[in-house]
Amino acid sequence: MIYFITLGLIGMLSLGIPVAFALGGSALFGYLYNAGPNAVLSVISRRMMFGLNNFLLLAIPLFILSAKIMNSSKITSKIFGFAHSVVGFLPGGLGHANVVASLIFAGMSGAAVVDAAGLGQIELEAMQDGGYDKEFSVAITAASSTIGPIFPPSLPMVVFGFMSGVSVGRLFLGGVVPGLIMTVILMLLVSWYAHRRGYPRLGMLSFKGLVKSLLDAILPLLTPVILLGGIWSGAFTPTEAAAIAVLYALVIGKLALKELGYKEIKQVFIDTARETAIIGIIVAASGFYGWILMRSGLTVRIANTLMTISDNPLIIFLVVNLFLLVIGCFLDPTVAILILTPILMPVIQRVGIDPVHFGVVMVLNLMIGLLTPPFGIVLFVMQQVSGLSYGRVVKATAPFLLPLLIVLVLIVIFPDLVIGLPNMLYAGR
Amino acid sequence: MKKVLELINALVLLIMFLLVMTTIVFRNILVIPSSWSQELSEYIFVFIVFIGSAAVMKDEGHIGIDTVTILLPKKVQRIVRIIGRLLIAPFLYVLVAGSLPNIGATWNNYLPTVPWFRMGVIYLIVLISGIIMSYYLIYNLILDLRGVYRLKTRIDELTHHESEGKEDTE
Repeated sequence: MIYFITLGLIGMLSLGIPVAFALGGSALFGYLYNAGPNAVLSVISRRMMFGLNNFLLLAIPLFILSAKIMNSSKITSKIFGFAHSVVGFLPGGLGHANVVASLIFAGMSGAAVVDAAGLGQIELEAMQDGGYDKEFSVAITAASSTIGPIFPPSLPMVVFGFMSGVSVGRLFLGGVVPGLIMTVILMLLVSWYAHRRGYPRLGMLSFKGLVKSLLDAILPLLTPVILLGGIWSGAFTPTEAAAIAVLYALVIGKLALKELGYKEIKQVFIDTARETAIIGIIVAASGFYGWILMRSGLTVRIANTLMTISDNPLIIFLVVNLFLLVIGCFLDPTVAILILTPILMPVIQRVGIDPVHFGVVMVLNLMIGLLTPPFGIVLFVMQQVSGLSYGRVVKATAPFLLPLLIVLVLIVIFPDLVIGLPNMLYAGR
Repeated sequence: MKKVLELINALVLLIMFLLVMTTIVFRNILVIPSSWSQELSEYIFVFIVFIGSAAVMKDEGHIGIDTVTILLPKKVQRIVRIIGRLLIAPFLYVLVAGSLPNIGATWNNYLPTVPWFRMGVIYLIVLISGIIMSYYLIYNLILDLRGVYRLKTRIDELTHHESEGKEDTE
């Protein structure tokens, strides 16, 4: 049975079989092999149903929806305009604006790819008009898009919370400080490039201009405050917060900015339903796979094996991180979280690593994989949006992996960077 | 059929969003717990996933890993695709065949908070989804065997807003 769900799964994935069917198929073959003639076929659809039937999962379509609505209205360009007016005076101003806009957008969306495909478009155009070379623009856009899933709200964290049972509210708060650190480090790198290459800066903006761009962007800027405040105070669950975000995006896009037609809204709903189905069917299949995985006893074995390497939490954590970095090069973050969380959580809990800490580290780690060949999906999106060749996108983005790796190491070594804020805010609750 | 499924799904997604909003309004403003809208929205989510997956099957848009297969020569890629579909087939068969007893077992159960909602309906959706997925699987298999299959990548899908104008002229 174990061979089916490990080697069988890897084999089916390498054949290019969609993840959902590779999970379901390998688990099915393992199950049939073990149960033989006693196999109960109805158990598969039942397990898939149990896997899906959870209110928390509804946050997935709702967060995708809100991000897409913001992309189809002009909210994203308002955000970029605001970011530009705040940090544009620094050397390499547009580069900084790119990073800051991603951070603000991260406060409303939860997916890196949406950031890269939507906001990225605007950022690339602005930087090209501003006289920046394509390579640099692409690299900073790609790197800053990974802030999206770290700074709350975050789709991968919802999925992690679902798989591990860890509070999504805590995970969200745990991503705040790492998201800010990523922003600062990326901005430092932009400054360094700007000095070396003499990138232009913008004159200091007048106070009046700053106020105007702030007013333009004030409604989007408030989103993370509303969402986090609502979840933290218990006024609404993460899923309800996601619905609020959708409503909010619709109201801003339709009423405040008047830049959203019914045709666009319809397309956004169609696209979102499609992406929801693509993720959801994997969640469903992993419901069945996870059940087989538990019956096989594989997770216990993996935990035991890892424990023989060392019982030092830090060393185990490093091993797990290296493993995730490699996996991240091949698997989509959400998929990796769905497959690996049930396998890794027992080890994490046994060596005493805080699950919130682990969750944020895992998400950040897998985000780096979005920027590495061969399967870095953000790279492909950047190639499509910019028109550069894939090889040049890869080469341009490579130096920007370093700051992300530095942040990863920082948050692994100093858990308080992650769990400090949620522990403080949730203290005494 | 794909277009119809997608439209239905978009509409159902809207209903799901409205139900979640209802839950919020009931609890926070009217201070009445509203578990019916929450439970119903959960099942609607299941509907979106299974019906949506069926629609996605048409252009085989489910996430997979093409790192290995992309390195192979075109001819071998085609053989690998065909083998892959044959390996998916038993799973889809079991999904369909296994849904039938579940429909029977739950048809007369109703959702406690929504008295008109038969639990069996949701397995009926799985059944329908499984049948449509199998149909598209065979459809694509035949296209590929006849050598007229056109590969579509996920990236095209993700950035299709940007390239929409180009697509129209094609």
